[in-house]
Amino acid sequence: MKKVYLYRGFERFWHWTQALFILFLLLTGFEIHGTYKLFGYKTAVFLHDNTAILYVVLIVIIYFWLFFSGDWRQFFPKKNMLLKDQVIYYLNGIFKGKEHPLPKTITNKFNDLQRLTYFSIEFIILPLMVIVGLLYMNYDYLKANFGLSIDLKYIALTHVFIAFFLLAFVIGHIYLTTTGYKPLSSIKAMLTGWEEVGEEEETTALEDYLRFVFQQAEKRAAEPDYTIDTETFKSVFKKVAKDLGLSGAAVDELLTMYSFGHFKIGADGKFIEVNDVWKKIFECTEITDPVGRSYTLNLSGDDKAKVEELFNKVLQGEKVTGVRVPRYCKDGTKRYHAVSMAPVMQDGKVVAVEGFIIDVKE
Amino acid sequence: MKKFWEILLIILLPEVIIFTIIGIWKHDRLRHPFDNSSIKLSEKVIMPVDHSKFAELQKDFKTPQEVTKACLKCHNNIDKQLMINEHWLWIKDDTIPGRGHVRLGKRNIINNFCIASGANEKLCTMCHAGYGYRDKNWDSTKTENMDCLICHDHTGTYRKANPCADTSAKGFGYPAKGVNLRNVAMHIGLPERHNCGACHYTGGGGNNVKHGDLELALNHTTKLVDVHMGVDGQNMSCTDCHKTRNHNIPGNLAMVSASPSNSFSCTECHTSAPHKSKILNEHFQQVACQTCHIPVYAKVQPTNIYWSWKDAGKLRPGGGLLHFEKEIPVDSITRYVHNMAYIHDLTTDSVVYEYDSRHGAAILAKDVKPEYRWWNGYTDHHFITDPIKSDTVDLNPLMGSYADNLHPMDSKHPSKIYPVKVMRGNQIYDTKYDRLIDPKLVGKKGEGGFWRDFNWDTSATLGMAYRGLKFSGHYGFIQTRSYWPLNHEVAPASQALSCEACHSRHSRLSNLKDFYLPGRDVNKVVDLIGWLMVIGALLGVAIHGALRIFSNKNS
Repeated sequence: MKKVYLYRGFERFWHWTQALFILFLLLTGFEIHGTYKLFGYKTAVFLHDNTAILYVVLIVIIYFWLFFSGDWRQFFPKKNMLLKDQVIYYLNGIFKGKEHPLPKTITNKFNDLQRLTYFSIEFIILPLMVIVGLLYMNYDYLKANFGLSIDLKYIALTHVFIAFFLLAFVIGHIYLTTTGYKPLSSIKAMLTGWEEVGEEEETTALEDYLRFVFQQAEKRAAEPDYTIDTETFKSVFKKVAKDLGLSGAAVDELLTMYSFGHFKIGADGKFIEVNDVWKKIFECTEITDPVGRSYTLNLSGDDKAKVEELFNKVLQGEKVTGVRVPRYCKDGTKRYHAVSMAPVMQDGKVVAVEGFIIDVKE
Repeated sequence: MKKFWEILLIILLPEVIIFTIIGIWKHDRLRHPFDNSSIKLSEKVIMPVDHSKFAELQKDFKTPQEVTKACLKCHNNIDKQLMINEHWLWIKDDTIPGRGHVRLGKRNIINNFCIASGANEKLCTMCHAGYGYRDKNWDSTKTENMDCLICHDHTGTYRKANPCADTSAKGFGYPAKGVNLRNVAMHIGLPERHNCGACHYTGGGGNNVKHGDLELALNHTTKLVDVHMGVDGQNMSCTDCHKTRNHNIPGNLAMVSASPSNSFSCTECHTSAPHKSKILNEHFQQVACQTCHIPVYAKVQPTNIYWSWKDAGKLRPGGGLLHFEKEIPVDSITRYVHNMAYIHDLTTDSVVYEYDSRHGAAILAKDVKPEYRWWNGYTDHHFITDPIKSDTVDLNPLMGSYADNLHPMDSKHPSKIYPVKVMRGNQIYDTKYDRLIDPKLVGKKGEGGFWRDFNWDTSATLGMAYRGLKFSGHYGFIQTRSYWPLNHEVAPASQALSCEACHSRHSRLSNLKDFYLPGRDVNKVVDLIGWLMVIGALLGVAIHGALRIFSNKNS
């Protein structure tokens, strides 16, 4: 069973709190609307208002979180959305057991249809509902003190209409959770953070995840005590992961599943050692493919000059973090990876260069 | 296991805490609510003077006027205060918004009980705070005719004569036979409940007939009937609220007033935010206190809710008066009074049907639910000269609407929802001139009063002539309504209306259609589209889900 980590702790907290709030507001709200009798009107209003006030607090916290974590980007519609593919999938592919055309990753955890829906819900409909609800709740006060002159009818009917819409949304939303890898995959994911996915989807997701963490690690690398070696990188990785709300278990799981391409190059410019991940990235099988050879490998021209420049910098005692460089793999294809490296000192002299690479897209 | 704890900590625990807060947090509670027990009744003024010691009053008075003169000897110039009082003049200057200045009072208004005082002053003035008010030529400047005793008698023995029953009285509005003026004069004091009640309880010809919220029982009652007046509670008397200064008695009755110029309200003691809950306090912007706190009226004695003059005049074979009362089931009301357009929302299973040759048919009911109207304190009036323009005449339409609540024409008196006794009935009108008729009802046999001669033609002719108006000779009966906002028989807080009384599909406010009331109102289009969306979502989900299950099995 393959899994990807998608939803961080706080995200899960706010999702379920918001979900319960909306369900409870619908339950009490439709009683206030007169659709049925359950708690009694007075209690229904009391519960509805209490929930609504706490919901306003939650929504403010959610917005802060989305803004500062940068996660708001995931909600915003982007260019070239593949809505058509998705619609075709839900109308056809899903019945044939095909995989969803858009894999989920931590930096892109919503497919395009979700993006569009959640953007509308979280940034248009819910705020509108909240604003209308606040007008409704404080109608008398606003009328008396701020001359609010909208007729209550329009406020109330808008509120009721959006409530119907949200009820319909909730039905569709709950149903669509069953369309994951397995019927309960998505619900489990929202509870644990880890979503079960298919093979293909998993690769994309994890690569994206590592790239994400690596970028974050790079930013941290600017800190003065940063020296790049396996343990340091792992500790930065953990720190970043922790800041992102990943549990210790999640970090360990990721580290076991993945590690970084590690290399050591002598001052003479010849590879001393590489690890298995490095070999995988370069698609070579034999340790002798790199070891004993020059660090420039098959590079030429500008590409070669760029790598040389970086290497010389490190030889001078500087550090390089997360610079994107090209490479020629064993099969001759040109690809890119991000490299971070630092000098290995001995008796005040640079004797070697050590660092990590991670595969990145062009 | 780790995951279990994670789920518990991140999801379950916060929700338990949050929903506990939702269940118990009282966001609506005022931090420093008004304390009802802080209201203190001012000490009852006890007159330091013992009137029975005054030689001036230890006389055998020949006429009631002698008593008045004796009062005025010490209380000099007090008559000037009463000279401008409606209790004396039966008319006052008032303003109807949109109509301007009017002279308004018992002298010229029309109601749908005994219709008008006009040519019937001889009888009506048995409730006048004076002596000798015989007809329209009565001289209001003769202050010795003021009746001090009707309001200040503390013996409980002072009564005015009913000129129909007690023909020995020396004049109209005079004391009844057997009243010991010397004893009464020696035992006077500030007005008590029975003084006000002497007239105000029995308007319309009997106990609680007219107002519905003013009845004899209030003289000695419990909190359940009236939370203010109950002897087991505050035991308040009329003047504790109708605080009278210089003989000006505050309080405006919508039937005889046009503006709230001399009114007062619950807020004077209870403030405008008497509840612990903010939401309840905010209701005061649209809802008068009385609306929730007077859930029913006519709690002890039935009140007249329908009066059909059309049925009057049926006599026994041989010409004797027909009079009977009987209890009838509520659902049979329409069989007794065929033209009763509206059946009140009654709480009892039966009502009293009363027939009297002189009055016609009447329905009296106990524990009646009020009707509700927007009211800004101003009242229009249908004067006798006003043309009739509709099938049902509103004799004193209460002014106000939801719109006036939003944008009040007078910021001191924005419209609020008030509980109202709506008195319905039919009464005589001139079918040619399209105006109401003030018929002559009282009089000895042969004088043309309907109650003796049973002839509408003469009664209408004489009544209209008395007012200087013509009667065309053609009459009919038209449906009328009069409005009596309720202020008395306030229930204890525990008996006040619950939210659902208004905020439900079976709302007490179902007649007030010009605004949106949560719980009562739905917009059919919004609800239809809403349910279609929900059903659409369910159907879509069901079909898609079924297809998935089906295709899964196949593959």
